[in-house]
Amino acid sequence: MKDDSYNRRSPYASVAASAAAIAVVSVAAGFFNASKYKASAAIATAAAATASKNDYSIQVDAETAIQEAAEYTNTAVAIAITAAIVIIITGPIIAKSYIPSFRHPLQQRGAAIALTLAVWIGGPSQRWRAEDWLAAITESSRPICYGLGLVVAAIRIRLHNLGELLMVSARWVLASNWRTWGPLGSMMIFAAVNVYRSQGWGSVFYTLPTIISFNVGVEWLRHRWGIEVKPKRSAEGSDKKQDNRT
Amino acid sequence: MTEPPPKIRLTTTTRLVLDLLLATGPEDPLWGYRITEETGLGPGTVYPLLERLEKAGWITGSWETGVPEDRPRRRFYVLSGTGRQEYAALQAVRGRGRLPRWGWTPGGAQR
Repeated sequence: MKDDSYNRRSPYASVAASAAAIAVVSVAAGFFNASKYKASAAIATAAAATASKNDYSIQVDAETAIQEAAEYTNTAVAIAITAAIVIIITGPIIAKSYIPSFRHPLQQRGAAIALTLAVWIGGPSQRWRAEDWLAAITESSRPICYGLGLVVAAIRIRLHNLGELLMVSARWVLASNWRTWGPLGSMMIFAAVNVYRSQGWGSVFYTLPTIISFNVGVEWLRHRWGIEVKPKRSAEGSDKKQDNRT
Repeated sequence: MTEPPPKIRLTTTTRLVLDLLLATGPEDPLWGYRITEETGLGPGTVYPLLERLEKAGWITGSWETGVPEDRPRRRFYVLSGTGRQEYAALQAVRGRGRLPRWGWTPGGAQR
């Protein structure tokens, strides 16, 4: 099913690396701006304090704050530039392992980028689809539109897989009373104690419908999804003993 | 805990694709692009559906044999035996659900 010939080399890896580098530099610019605003605010505070109270200690504090802001700016810019350099160097290497290249390169750059994006969003588990998708784009009379459709398809497949993972986890939790009521019960006890401490016993009484509705909800979900709860080990043991006696 | 196979809901889109797969035989297989063209559905709808149907075992996918020179290989999809059975069963259930429960039928009620 999978075809390794599509993982050899990517002409579009540099696109991904450049995008990542641009993102990091943008973050750096954001840090720089934030620091600049902080410094400006400190200067304004110092000026206002000095003018109104003629208090030099406030001015000294403000000068210290300005120094700290300057250090903060330098550190942030240094970190961002280092990160950008690292991404520019390692980005294409990392991207190559994720983005496949094709024996039949697409003529239209837009369609190629859309396909690369779709394959990247689909993740390693869907990479084998790249050949089929490329065949479809090659056949299509509107390759860019088709490529964008494939991006939507990749997003939907990814979301569906994520939903499936959540469903499997939820089923696993609901299959055991301990796993279900351990976290839920402790959360409800915590909520009840919190209500008691802030509002008193009268309000705690009103948490009872919540507890009942949780119980009903859990039982409804188990019934709807056809989940059988594992019997307790001690109960299983006593049943076996009784069977042996009879 | 054994996981049940993914449940397939008979939406209009699903029926469109399954009807097309039913109409074509193994000698004339369908691939993603042809399905989008013949049903008029977008690739954003067709490919996730094909993925779900394949996971549920309703259709089987296979790569085109041989490597064509002018284009990459296509992935062909064929309706499986399980798919035919399940689809027929779901259609029967759907058909029964549409009968008027208290309606008048000529010739008397026959069950």
